Amino acid sequence: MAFINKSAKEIQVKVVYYGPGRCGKTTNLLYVNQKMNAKFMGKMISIDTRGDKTLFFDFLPLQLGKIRGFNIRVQLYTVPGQVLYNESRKMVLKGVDGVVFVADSMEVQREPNKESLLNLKENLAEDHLDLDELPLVIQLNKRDLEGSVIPILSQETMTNDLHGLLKHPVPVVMASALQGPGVFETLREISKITIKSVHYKLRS
Amino acid sequence: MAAQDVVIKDIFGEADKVEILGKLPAILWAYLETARLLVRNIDTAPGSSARSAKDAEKILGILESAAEYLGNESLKTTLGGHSKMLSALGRGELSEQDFVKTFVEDLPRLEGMAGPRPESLPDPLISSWLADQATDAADRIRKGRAGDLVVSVELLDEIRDYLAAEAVSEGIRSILVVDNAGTLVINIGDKTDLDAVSLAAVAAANFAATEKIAHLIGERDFVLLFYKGHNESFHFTRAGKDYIVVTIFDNSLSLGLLRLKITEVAQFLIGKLPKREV
Ligand SMILES: Nc1nc2c(ncn2[C@@H]2O[C@H](COP(=O)(O)OP(=O)(O)O)[C@@H](O)[C@H]2O)c(=O)[nH]1
Ligand SMILES: [Mg+2]
Repeated sequence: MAFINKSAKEIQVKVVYYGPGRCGKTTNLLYVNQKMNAKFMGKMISIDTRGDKTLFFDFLPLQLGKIRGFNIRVQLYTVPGQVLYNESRKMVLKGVDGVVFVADSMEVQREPNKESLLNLKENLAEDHLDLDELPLVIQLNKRDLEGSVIPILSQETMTNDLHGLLKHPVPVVMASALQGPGVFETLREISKITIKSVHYKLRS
Repeated sequence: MAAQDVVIKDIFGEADKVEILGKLPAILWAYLETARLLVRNIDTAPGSSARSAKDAEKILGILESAAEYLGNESLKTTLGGHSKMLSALGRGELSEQDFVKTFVEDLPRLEGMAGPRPESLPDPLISSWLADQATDAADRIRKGRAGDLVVSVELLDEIRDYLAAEAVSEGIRSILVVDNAGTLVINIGDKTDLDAVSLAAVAAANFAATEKIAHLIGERDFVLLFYKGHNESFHFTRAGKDYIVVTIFDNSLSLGLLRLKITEVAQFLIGKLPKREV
């Protein structure tokens, strides 16, 4: 739920990184946390188990400057990817304003990608939210594996797969969360459309 | 593993495989770096190959199990060849000169499989942390049991009997033993109709979140974790590093008595349940 403080001219939105287990959601936040100026960032919190495996969520609050005179605060969350953690995913999704769907480019993850997007749709529907109405960006992650011995899915295949589950096409960003390309582009894109939609709701 | 054993599957087992595939090219590059270093060492200081050969062998071990999982025959064959060469070199059955000659020929082919060279490689030896992590994961994948817990049926029965006699009979409604990652290990009491599997996963998440709160305010952990409902209450405690005990009890039971009981239960469980290796 966007939090708008008109007197302080501040908008706070919640963006959730969603996707199958091990697709690189946490790595996205870690990269942002590493590269962004600490002045505009709060502390990153990871609720995980056995090393780096997300058990509940990761959280990273950011300040993204001003848009139309409003201070923009964005809170990034990730969900745990494992099937068993669906209740936890639902909790993290509460009040979401925008979603980054991180898809794993590895061929072995083709079905898990689709299942995860459908799971997102279902979980939102339970909360009376419509995935097709929500600001959404698709990130095709792990593109650094292209040209290596690991079989990966083409951009076209992935886009068709995922757009096939949506009513309208949404922005698609190619990325390597591990190495950096596409991480900030994804963040900019989702922030832009999320703020826009919040503004729109504000007017109506 | 005996037929009577119960395997409590590691929730992250499948994920480990996905993870090691994603890392394969980076590990291949790390191996190539180490291999080139080995060749350079032999060139500049003949007779000094032993150490860097060991390093190369270590990374090679990881690669071989990753290749196995990938099912790429040509990669498997190449790596197998390297493995043989390295051990022959180690045993002194292959001269350094002969080794370098055949070894160097193979490296460009491997580079082709590794794909584009990452801009920043981890230091020549792939940071030892990454190597260790990857070795562990690869080892688990090789054995095909990731972080699974194996408990015998007899032990589960023994624990159930103990819990029934010592805890449930004393006014405690239900006890759930959950592993760190939220897998349900044991569920006993009159609450078996509830969705214990989801409850276990959420309880573990909640427990981890509460521990994080403790850290944020500078506490190591909370001594007592307790939620009071209108009729029933929940109590959470750790049993060793790997398990969480969730107790559901009637509000008429005194909290002091409950804590005493649960401390005993936790001690008992620590003594009985297997510890996770990873
Ligand atoms: N090759 C490659 N590996 C990645 C990339 N992003 C993440 N990973 C790896 O994938 C694994 C899982 O990443 P993580 O962020 O924990 O996934 P999560 O479960 O979605 O949070 C880790 O080993 C990461 O290093 C990427 O862009 N390329
Ligand atoms: Mg994660």
